[in-house]
Amino acid sequence: MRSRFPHFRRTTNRGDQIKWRGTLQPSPRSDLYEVEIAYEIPCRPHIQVMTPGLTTWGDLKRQPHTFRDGSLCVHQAHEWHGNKLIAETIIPWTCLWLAFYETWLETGCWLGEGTHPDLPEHSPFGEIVGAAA
Amino acid sequence: MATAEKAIWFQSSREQLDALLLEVCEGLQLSLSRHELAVERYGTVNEILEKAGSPFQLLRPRIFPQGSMALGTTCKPVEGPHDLDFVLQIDAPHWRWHPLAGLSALYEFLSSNETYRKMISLKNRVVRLTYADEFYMDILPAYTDLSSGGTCILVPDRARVSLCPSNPEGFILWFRNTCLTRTRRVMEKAKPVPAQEAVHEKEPLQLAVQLLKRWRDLAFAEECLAPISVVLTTLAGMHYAGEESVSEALTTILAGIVNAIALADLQGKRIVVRNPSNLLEDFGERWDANPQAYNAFKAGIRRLQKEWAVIVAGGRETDKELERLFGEYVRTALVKRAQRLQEARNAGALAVGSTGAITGLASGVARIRPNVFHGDE
Repeated sequence: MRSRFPHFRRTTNRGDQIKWRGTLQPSPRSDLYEVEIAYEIPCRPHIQVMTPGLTTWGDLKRQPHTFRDGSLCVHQAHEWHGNKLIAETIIPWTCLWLAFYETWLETGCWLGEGTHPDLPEHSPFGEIVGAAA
Repeated sequence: MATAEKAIWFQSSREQLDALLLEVCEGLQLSLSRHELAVERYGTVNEILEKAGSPFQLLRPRIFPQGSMALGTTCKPVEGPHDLDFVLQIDAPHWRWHPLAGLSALYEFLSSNETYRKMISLKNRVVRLTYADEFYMDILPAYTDLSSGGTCILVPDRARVSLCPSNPEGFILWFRNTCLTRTRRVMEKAKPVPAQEAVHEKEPLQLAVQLLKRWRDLAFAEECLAPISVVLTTLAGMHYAGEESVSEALTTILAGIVNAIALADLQGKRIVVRNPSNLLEDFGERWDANPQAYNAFKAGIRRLQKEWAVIVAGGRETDKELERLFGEYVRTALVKRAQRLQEARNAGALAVGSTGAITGLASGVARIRPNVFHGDE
């Protein structure tokens, strides 16, 4: 992890649980996000944006492709398992999620596709813009 | 990095902002089909004025575009029709006639034309043809100014009942030359009807003027207080220092205008916006009769400079500020960029750098592998 993403440091390492915290900036004009990634065997990595707090577009209650606790869901269950490196999967996917999140926040359009396309926060360009503008 | 108009990832905040502004300007400019329609109409009017029966036929009439179409700084109006400005220049001894004779003759001649009769109106300096499809064409009849020489002309002014000095052709030459960036300072000649330039071919100054005009259209609710386009264009040209980047050009221009205002304030005067190609013409003279408009301009441009500085500093939130200043095309540009990002992702062409910046495969530390965003229902 440190060799690829030097801004990340390990904050917890107690055998079955490991946590990293670091910053990601998906583009030069993006915010600098502090992200915590917690991995506890045998669960999937838990991705939380610590700062700045995630906000929503318009009146929507939550961001696209998140869990109810506000953590990010950047993959389907079968796309990740314990022998995949977090630096090669979870971190790049998180960067991508953040990039699409920023466009969504400004436009109301989630352009990164994904599951549950019928959810209001995933609505394609045009529909949601018209409804909430 | 990909080509300027197709950029997905960027090396710097400035580069990213410039790419966004370029796309905003793409939305702002007259579309190619509208440009062609304007050229066609210009051609038709030109033909009528030159053919037998025209009072101008023997006066060697020459009709040419001026204003934003000739300068490459067209900016779609927020609402209402698009204006196109043309000059009808004749070589004639103007001192023999009443100053408004040319304007009256043009108005009467076009009024007698079946097609134009219902579209015509007489303004202070021009004859206006209003087309049904959101266009109006202003034709300014002008005499060659033999005493000033060069491309100088004299134009009628109904309010003053006199001829006033002007030099739109010289202004176009000045602007096109001023436009050239530090690395490309070579002389260019103005073309009679410049071909519509693609936005990525435009110079930073042209883009900066488009943005300033858009800002003006959105920031000044009352039209009587809004600075006129030629004032913004001239001020931008006066203070542009050859920057290669549109965002840097705008920073320099705004600083220059704000400093000039401060200097004029100290002297208890307003800024003077001389036509660089005819120093007898002051584009800011309307402010003398309307000091409220000058005060509104001063306050507006100072505010814009502060807001612009925040935008240049970066951060996601500043895109909202950009949209407030320049309108809905910012949102469209962001959507297009995200669509290109998704296309590149589908093609497996993305990676991330060590800071988390999305980039191309060659410069990343980790390739972005295929994934599907998921989550609770």
